Amino acid sequence: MSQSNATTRRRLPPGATPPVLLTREALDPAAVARSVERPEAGAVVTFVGTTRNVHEGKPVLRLEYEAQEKLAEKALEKLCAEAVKKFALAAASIHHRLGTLEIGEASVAIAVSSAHRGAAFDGCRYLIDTLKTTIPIFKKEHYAGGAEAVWVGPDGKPVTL
Amino acid sequence: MKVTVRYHAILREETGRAEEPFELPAGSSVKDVLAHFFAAYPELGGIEQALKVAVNDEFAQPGDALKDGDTVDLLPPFGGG
Repeated sequence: MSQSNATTRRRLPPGATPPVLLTREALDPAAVARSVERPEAGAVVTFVGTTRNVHEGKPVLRLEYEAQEKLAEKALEKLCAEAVKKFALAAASIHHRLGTLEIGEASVAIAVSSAHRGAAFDGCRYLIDTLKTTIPIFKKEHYAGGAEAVWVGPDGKPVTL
Repeated sequence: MKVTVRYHAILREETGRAEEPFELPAGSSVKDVLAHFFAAYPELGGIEQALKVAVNDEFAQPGDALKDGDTVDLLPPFGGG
């Protein structure tokens, strides 16, 4: 499994926020939002997905994310570029967490900017909805009470063999 | 020719390995890898319709041709977000 991530792959100035990032460290949604600010953009919309303590009635202890990282990064970059074009956004950024997440931790932070709020809301919604079905990131849910951990798909249902 | 097939998430757990070399006839395509995989692991057949495939870190289709040394990822359903 590849351990590369966008911070090591790209040469960015120290402290810069890359437009696409897969990371095992805590996300910084405020930095993601700041990174899409543009002088011509009157609207910034962010979406932060967090780890919920229950899934279909079962108490969740923690989540585990992994990815085909090279492909996921490329696909996220393509998705951002597509959304910028489709919704006339000024900028778009997606950071996704990998590894083990405790309840309440952010798993994904998305920010977009646009001249006006309508396109920014629409673009942000499109990014999170499309990410779920098109980006090779995998999620395993661990439950309380000794129930078996389960890999779940884009519909939130267990992956069946 | 030889290709490296990588297993992710539930497939890594079920096969007990992260990758496996497949020896295939020259001219094989992605669907031949899938046929080889499901012949080796018939108990995982239920996931076939939901699998996506990548070759050398790009999404691929069943008809795509392979060459010696390629890396093929078998990708179970995505769960990001």
